Amino acid sequence: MNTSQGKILIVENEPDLSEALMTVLAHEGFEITIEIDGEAGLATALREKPDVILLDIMMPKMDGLTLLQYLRSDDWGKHANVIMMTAFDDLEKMKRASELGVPDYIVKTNVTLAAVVAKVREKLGV
Amino acid sequence: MKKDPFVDIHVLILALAASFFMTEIALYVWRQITLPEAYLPSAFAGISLFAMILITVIIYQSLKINESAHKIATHMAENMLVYSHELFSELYRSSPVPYVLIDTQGVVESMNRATARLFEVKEGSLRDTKILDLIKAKDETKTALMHEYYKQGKFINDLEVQVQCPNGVSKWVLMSLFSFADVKNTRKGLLTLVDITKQKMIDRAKTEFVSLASHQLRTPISAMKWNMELLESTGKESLNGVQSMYMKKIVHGLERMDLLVRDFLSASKLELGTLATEITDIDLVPFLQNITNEFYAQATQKKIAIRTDWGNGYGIVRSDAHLLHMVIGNLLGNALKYTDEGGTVTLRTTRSASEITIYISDTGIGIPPEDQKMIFTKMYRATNARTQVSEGTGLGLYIVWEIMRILGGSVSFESKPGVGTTFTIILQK
Repeated sequence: MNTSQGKILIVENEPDLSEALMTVLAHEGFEITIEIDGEAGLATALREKPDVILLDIMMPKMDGLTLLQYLRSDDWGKHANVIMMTAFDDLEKMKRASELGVPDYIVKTNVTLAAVVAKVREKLGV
Repeated sequence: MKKDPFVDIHVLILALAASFFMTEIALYVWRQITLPEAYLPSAFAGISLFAMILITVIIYQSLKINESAHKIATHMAENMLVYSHELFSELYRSSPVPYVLIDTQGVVESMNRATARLFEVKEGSLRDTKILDLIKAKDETKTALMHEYYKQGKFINDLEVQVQCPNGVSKWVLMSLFSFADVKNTRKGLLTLVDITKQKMIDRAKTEFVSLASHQLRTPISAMKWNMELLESTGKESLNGVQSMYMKKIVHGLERMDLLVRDFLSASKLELGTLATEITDIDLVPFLQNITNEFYAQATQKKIAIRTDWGNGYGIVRSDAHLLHMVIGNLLGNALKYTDEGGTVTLRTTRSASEITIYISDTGIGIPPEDQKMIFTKMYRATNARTQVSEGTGLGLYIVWEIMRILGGSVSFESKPGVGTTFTIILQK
């Protein structure tokens, strides 16, 4: 697909997961950037201003919730589209993410790639 | 030995009788040997007196021996009693098992050294303390039940409880309590508390390991699932029939592994008490319908009909949506797993003033009567489930039971082998 459907930033430290996400989202026409830790993820997010950020929680250097906290203190980041990704149903962390304006989360083992794509499309309205 | 006047009278009568008898014999002998009659009275008196003295002495001597024997026996019995009392006291005091003697109000009357060690106090210092107030069961209901059982004089055997030491330290113990009437017919209770804190710590370490391992396994499982999905979508045309079949088997294996890991993780969270709860308003029927929808594909594949009858179950229930989802999902999954082709699984709800009841019925293999008592035990699978359906960890119903305990509801079932099973979930409104 030639026309970009939107810019997606994947912040995920597991290459096996981020690459699978990249493959399927790129195939759908999205422009993908991958970062493997929270610090790099935050810097890229503020610099690139992606349309959607797929954000893992447990990561080296800076975890996903801290990244989200910094992001929400930025003028642009305040309204950025974020989908949290977790390895398991961690209600406490999800509650915290919800307080930071991210009601959407996916439990990685529970969803298919197709469901992730649908979620991203829903966020972007495309 | 105390002097008995009757003994003296008896001895006298006996001595008289014996002397009379001996005198008669002596007189008979006298006549036979024809001695002079003139000596007869004095001989009669002499022999009688001699016989009397002799018999009296013999009887008194034998009584004396008897008295000594009695004294020795009494002494020995007294010694034995003292010995056995000391032995009992020593065993009670030094036993490694904490023993506490309590009255009807649960107030400590006596305690042994092991109890003092367990509570980390000086020996005897818990006297007059209401010890049952220092003991807490797994939840408040069980604690109340424990107090009630004691009031009713019922036996409590090996109940896992926590004791709160006066210095603030908390310990896990296995508690047994039974009541009895003492020699004065006063009701008492004997409490034994076996310290299992170390075992619990080991158990916790094991559970933490399972939790960590399950958690770590989830990321590679996700990676495998997503990459299999990519392989499936990109290789549809290039894979031949056999390769597609292998791939389906891999996907099925992955699904099983995912479920296993999920069950291990849930069970370990329940045990560690780290399963967070969030009580919200749940619109019950749409909530149940959504869960049911997740199982239609599986039911269609197995040619099992799913029926729903929401009755007057409509409305809000206050509960934890995530945990209730796990309960219903587990029971629906089991119903489909243990029902053969052509069977039916039914979801039904009813609502009363105080409760909401959810019934999940199937026409499956049922639970044999001999397995029914154990069915909510961790890692337990009914005999027919093990032989007829290989997949299963025996964790599902344990998870259901524990979650319903956390949610303050209940789960029960009725089952007939070969006919089916109905699980009943009761939620307080």
